[in-house]
Amino acid sequence: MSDLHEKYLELMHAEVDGQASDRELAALNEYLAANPEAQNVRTDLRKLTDILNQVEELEPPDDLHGSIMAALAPQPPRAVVGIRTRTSTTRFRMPLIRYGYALAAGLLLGALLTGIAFRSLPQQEKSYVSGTMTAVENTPHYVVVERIQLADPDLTGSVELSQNGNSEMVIFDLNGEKTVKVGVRFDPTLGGIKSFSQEPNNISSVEGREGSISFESQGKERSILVLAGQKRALPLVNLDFYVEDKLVHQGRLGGTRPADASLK
Amino acid sequence: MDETEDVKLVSESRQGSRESFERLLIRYEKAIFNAAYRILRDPEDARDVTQNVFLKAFENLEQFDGNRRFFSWIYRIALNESINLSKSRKRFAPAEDVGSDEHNTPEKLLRRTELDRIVQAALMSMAFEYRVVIVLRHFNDFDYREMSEILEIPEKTVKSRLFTARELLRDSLTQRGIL
Repeated sequence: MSDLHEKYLELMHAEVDGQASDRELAALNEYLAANPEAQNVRTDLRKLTDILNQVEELEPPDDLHGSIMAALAPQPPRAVVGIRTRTSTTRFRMPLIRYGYALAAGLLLGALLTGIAFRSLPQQEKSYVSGTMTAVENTPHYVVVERIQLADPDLTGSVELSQNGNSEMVIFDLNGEKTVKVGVRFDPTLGGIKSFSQEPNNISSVEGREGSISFESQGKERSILVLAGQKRALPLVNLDFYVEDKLVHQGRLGGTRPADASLK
Repeated sequence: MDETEDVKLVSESRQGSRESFERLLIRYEKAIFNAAYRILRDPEDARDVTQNVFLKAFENLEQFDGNRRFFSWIYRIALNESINLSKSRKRFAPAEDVGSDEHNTPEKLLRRTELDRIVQAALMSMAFEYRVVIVLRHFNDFDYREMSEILEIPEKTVKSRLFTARELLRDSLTQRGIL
């Protein structure tokens, strides 16, 4: 290819990119008029550009915006752990199983049939817990679907579950003089950890695995866990609350349950 | 894209305004998602990349060089995230047949036309560096100078890479009966 042709080839690209001046375009047209074979190159280039222009822009998933905002660290910006990704540097491994609908349906059906909502504890350890199925707007894009109130000498507060598309956000507003250790378990084939953050204190003593995460809460603290599930099968979330290594609460939230399946 | 607005929103976000950061998210979310999707093909991967980009941007706003334009910074993060994910894919998952990826789309989240599918397959047949310039130029509509900023390479290199990428893409589309 001659230097001359190379120069005009560059002009052809500049032309389709809208970056050629009027003078350059005039020079290009003059060159093409005298070199009909070069006209084919220009035609191919224009066809290619036309095809690429026909490719439609995609809409991001509906819940992406809300998921990002929910996963942002509280102000001022600080570390958020466990951002969902599948690279080797991820703290939490979250294999989203894409074909688990049958399993999900089985689990949900099981939950409906057995009415499991709250596992009995020894009477002296059981605290007052109530569940609701309200549909109150919490944060943009997320809708509150269930809430547990905690009332125990060592631990008060609430746990609220919101859903947005295939994401579940669990907000723990806990208040206790003693350190509370919270364990969260779910079926790893139905979902994974997308993010976890705490405020106002820095994240401390958090440990995530496939299908579980545990963390500590001290004083009055809010902890926010976001799980990614599947549109048709959001995972049930099992909760264990320990104070001084003693199990004081145990509950279950999430999934698709009938409106009267209040916690017992 | 209004760069003055970006400067204002970045400044407010640095002072702790989540609302301003959310406006930056609104401005760039779709473009970043589309760029990641065109580079990686998998909508779930594109989602992961988009989420990580904005969370990293939020975490590192203090390190953002105010002399640089925000879009070039955030796209640079997106490319790095895509490269990392692409590398991990190469290590853990062999390349799939370009025409058999429909099962990867969860619940038909993203419907694609036949043309879209063929173009995407042709893009995936190209080396990463060539795919990226096609995406930035044709799907994100950046000019040579902006691409040079994002890719951190001279404009001359952008042009030569884009020319080669177009030749490769043209050949690939010709083989697929589109051109």
